[in-house]
Amino acid sequence: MIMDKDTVERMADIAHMYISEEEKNRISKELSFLLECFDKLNQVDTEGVMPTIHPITDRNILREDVVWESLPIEEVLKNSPDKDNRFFRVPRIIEE
Amino acid sequence: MNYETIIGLEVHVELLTKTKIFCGCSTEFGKEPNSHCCPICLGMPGALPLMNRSVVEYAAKAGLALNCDIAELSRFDRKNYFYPDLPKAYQISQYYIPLARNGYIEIEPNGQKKRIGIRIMHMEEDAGKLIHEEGSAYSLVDLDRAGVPLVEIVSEPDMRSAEEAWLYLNNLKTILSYIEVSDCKMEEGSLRCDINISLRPEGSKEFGTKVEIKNLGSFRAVRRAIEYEEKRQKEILESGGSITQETRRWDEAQGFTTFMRGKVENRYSPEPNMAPIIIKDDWKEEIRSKIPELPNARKARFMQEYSLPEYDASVITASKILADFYEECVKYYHDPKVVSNWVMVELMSILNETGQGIKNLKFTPKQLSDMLVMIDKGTISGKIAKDVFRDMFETGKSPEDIVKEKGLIQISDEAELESIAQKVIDNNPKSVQDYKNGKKKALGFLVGQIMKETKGKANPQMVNTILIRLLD
Repeated sequence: MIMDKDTVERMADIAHMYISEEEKNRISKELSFLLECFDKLNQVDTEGVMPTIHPITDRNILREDVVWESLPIEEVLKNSPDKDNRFFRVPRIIEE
Repeated sequence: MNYETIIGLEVHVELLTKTKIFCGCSTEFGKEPNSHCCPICLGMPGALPLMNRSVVEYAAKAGLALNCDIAELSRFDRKNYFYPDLPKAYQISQYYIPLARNGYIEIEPNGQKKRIGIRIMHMEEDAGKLIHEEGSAYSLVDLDRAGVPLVEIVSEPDMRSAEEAWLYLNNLKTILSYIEVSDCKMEEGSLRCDINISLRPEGSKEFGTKVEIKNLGSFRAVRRAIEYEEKRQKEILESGGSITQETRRWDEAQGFTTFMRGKVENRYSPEPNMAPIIIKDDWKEEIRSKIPELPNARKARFMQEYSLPEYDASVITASKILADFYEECVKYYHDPKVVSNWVMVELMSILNETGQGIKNLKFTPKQLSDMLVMIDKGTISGKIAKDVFRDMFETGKSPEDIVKEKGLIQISDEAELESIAQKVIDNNPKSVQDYKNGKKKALGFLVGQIMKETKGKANPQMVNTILIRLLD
C-alpha cells in the first residue's frame, strides 16, 4: 500500500497543516513504509476479536454524580496567555 | 416535475445531571463566566476523564424510551475539529460503537401512524461558549458549558415534510421530558436541532444531494427553514442546476438560509483515556423499570379509561406534570370530561397568561375537584367558579375559604330571587313589553340584570324559571 503525494496533501488539508514540497515527499515515503507494516498486521486473522482500545473491558469505571468544588477563577485563568476579566481571550474566530 | 422532500434530523439534548460528564464540576448555568471549571474540563495536560454514572443511566433510559437497542459495550472516540470552544482541541464523543441504535418515534401526520427511525443515539460532551464582541479582534471563551453531558439523536431520513419534522421533534421532546432526563428547551439551548434535507424526483429511489441547516432557535424556525429550503432546492433543480453539499445557516430575522461552509471531514480516533461502557441485561432492566408510562400509551389510556376525546387526551398528556395533575383531580371528581375542560381551558389559559409553570401551582388537584363539587351542589354558579379558580391560582386558598370570605355562595332562595326578579321587571318596562311582543332576546337581558343585581351569585336555572313565571 502506498501513500501518494495527493493523499498526503489531502490529509494535510483536513488537518489544516501547511507543509513544504520536500516534507510532502518525505512524509509520503515514511507513511508508505508505515502502511506496509500495517499491511503485515492485517494479514493476521482477527475474525471475531474485538479491537483493544483499552485494557479494561470487563467492568465499568464510573464516578457518582456528586458536585465537587471547581477551581477559583485565578487558578482557572492562571496558565492562559491572554484573558479579559473572567474570560479566556482568543483571536476572533467566527464559524457557527 | 414533482419532488419528494427527504428530511433527517440531528438533535442534541443536554442531560439533567448535577455534574459534567467527565468531572464533578456543576452543570448549573447563570453563574459568572468560568466558575465551573477544573483541570479535567479545562483540558489540562495529564488530566483524565472520570465518567459520570448518571450520564450512562440517563442516556440509556432515553435510548430505551426511544425503542433503541442498547449496546452491551460502547466506546468513546475523539472528534477533532478547528474551533476553540473545547480546550482539548477535540470533543470526546461516541462514533465507532455508539450507546444505542435502531430506535423509532411514532408520529401521526394526518391521523395516519408513521414510524420515524432513529439510526443512532450516543453520549458526548458539550463545548464551551464563545462570545464575539462587535468590532473586537478577539473572542471571549467561557468554559462552564464545556463538558456538560449531551446525547445526540440522529434520525433516519424518514421525514417527508416540515409538518412531519415538527411532529417528530415534539414527540421527542415530550418523551425525553416524561422520562426526566432533559428539560428540552430549545429557546434555552438544552435542545438543539440541525436539519439534513434533500429533494428527489417523485418515484425515484435514490437520494439527492443533501444540505445541512444550522442555527435553528425554535421548533417554528425548524419548520420555516425546511419550507424555505424545499423551495430553494426545487428552484435550483427546476432550472437545471444541481445542489452542492454544504452547511447553510438559517437567518430567523430574514427568513432564509445562507451559505456557511462547505463539506467538512471530521477526524475521529478512539479515545484511549476512556474505558468502554458496559451495560449488561440486569443494569439495562433496572434502568428500563424507571421509565414511566410514555405519552402515546398514556394518551390511549386516557381516551379509554376516561372516555376523553383524542384532542383532550393529547393536550393533557403532552406534559407529564399536567397529566399527573389531571389524574389526581379525576380521583376526587366523578366526571373526567368536566375536569378536562377546566384543565384545558381555565388552567392552561391562566398558565399561558401568567407565564407560570404548572410545577409551581399553589393549589392542589383535590382543591380543584372540591370546587367542581361545589358547582354540582349549587353552592356556587359556574360563572362565579371562574373567579374562585383565579383566586385559588393566585393565593392557594381552598375554594371553601374563598367562597366564605368573599360571600360568593349562590343565591338559591326562591323568595329572595323572586323579589329581585320583580324589582328588575318593574325597572325595565320596555324589555318586559318586548318580551311580551315575542322578542325572546329580551329575557336574556332581564336575566343579565338580575345577575348584575346579585353580583353573579343568583342560581341561573332558578332565575330563568322565576322570570318566565312572573312574566307570563
